[in-house]
Amino acid sequence: MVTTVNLTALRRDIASLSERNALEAQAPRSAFGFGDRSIDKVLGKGLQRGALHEVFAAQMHDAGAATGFVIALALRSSSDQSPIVWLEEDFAAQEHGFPYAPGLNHLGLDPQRLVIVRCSSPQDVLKAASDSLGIRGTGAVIIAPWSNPKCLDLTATRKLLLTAQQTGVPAFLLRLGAIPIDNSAVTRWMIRSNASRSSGANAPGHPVFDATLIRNRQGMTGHWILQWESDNHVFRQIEPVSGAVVSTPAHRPPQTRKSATG
Amino acid sequence: MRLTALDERAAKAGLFKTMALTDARAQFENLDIAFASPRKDAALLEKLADWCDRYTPLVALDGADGLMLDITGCVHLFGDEHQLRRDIHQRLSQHGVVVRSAITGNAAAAHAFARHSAGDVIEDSALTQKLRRLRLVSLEIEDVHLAGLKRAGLRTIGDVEVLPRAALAARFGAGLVERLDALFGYAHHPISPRCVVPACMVERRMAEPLIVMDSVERVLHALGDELFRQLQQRVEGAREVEASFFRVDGEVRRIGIQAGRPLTDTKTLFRLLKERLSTLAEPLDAGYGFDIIRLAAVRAERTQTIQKSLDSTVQETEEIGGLIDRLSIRLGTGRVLRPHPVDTHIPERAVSLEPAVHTAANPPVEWAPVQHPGEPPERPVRLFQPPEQIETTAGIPDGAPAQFVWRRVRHTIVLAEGPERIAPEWWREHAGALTRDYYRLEDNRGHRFWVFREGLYERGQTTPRWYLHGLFA
Repeated sequence: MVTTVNLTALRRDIASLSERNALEAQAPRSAFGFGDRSIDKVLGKGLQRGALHEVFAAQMHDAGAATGFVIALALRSSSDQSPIVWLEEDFAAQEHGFPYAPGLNHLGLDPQRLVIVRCSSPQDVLKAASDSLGIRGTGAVIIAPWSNPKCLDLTATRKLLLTAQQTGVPAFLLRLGAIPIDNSAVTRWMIRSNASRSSGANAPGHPVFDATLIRNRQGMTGHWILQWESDNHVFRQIEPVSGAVVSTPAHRPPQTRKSATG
Repeated sequence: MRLTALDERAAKAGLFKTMALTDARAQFENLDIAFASPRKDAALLEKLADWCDRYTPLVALDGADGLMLDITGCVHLFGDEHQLRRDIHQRLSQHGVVVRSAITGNAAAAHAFARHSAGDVIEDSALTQKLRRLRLVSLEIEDVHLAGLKRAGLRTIGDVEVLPRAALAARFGAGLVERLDALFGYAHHPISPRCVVPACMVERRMAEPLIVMDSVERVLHALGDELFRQLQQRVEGAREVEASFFRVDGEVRRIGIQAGRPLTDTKTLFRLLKERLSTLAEPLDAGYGFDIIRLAAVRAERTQTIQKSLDSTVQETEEIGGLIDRLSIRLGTGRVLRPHPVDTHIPERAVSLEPAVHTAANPPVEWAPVQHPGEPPERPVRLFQPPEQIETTAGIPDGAPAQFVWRRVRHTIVLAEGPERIAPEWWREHAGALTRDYYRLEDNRGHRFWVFREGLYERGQTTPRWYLHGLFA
């Protein structure tokens, strides 16, 4: 059997393919790292900047940690002094507390950069998000709807992702009281609080996150214990604290700390 | 029940105001009555006042049933005073409104002629003569004084006007003299218009009312260009723009827009206008068509001409300003906010969220750098408003809690720092405000909390209450 090959068509296909590759290379798809060599090595060049990243609070009490992690990512991904737009649905703020500027200041985010937008519905959040992402001057956009709204589906997240890719503005979906459902986010993180290194005198130390990358469209997933250093804006991977902090109940076999092992 | 208002036929038939309804019914069996509604009357008058905006921007309410228009400088648009007055009468009678009007050199005289004579356009030269012929009722002074004047044998304003003012004031009060001065134009009483007089205004009057939205948009475009051309000559931009649509049936629709920085071009204005139109509860309805469309810069501000530099930051601030404007129009100015520092130790007051529209043009407020660099955060990222009450078990009475229950979950504390004592601001609080002792806590699963105890143990407080105020990262 003889198969006829249309050589011209094939050449054209190849040309278009390589053209697309060239376009992708040109697009403003720079990446941002975590500032810690061990995690950046795993993630290759780091996380894609003009993309949609999703951050979940594992449980209700992890809302503070997830918020802190998103702020840290926003700081890592944006240039100094560029404005950060924070879109928060009213109910999320009522349930988990309002974003508190002095505390954000302590995390290293200059509140001057912040524009807080309060939205009464998830639809408002999404519409404002696509507007904010469409503007090149935005440093980062934090999108915080409450729970799993119906309108936050595959199409909506795909639109956000495309806008972010076009303008190169990083978008962070902060998911409080929500469970992961398939969508177009490039990475998906599950955040838990983790024991901090006491700064002495039995006082809580710098923020420590138990971060699990449960989905990564562009590479490997993983699990890290990360400490955020707000002064120089870097994450540092640390060894989990041994279970010694909690005394073992006498009537139960010793158990390793759940959060530390993921 | 009494009569409060009559139509022409009823007045001719001999009925009068304040007459008892039963008396009126006795005279005319099938009397057509409607209950008085001052609220609806006022609403109608407001609507008419809006409509009168087509003649002059200076429209004021005059009592419960009158309007005062300052037409200084507007007359030539309609020909002369007589044509203007004819135009008002003709248009209003088309809407079924009975009008009495007068045009004179001062507001008080116009009021008197419109209400107490046939009304006319009265030239300044004839004003004094005609005023003198008005009856005493036109003075609108208290009934006692009016009766007093009549008893003295005086009949017209002219009779009173010639009398010495000092004697008049002594006998009938200063009110009468003031009234006379106002009528003859000796004292100036400016009217207080309902709306702010815009800094700059352009309008288009259509011979044929516009019904199709596309043509409305075209007209608006042309008006926008004209408005910004005028503003540009004054090196100004518009911070607040109002578009007014006058419908042929008398409806007036106004759409206001606020911007964070002075607007200088039609394109940006149109983006905001479209945003505003899409959020309207009842959409802009052309009905039988608009016959006047007006665009006014209610508030103008000096613009700074910025040279476009190679550096892109200027361009970017412009863009973020535009975003803030658009979001503020869609969601409301109270929902697009910027945090400003407040000099206080009370945590919930340490930040005030100000509408970003109002602050976009001003330089942003500086936040003081964190006090102890290198130390872990001392303030939470999320703050509960109001604080949520928790049940605690403290190791020692005056110390940090050993464990607490928040939202039905028990947290065992492993790390704690505190107290950070924050006293109430006595110059602001009521006497009952209590001192708070704040603690930073970390439980055995790594959650970090900000809790406080309200009140001190030693001051007779038997069971101080504990609250969770915030979550740390």
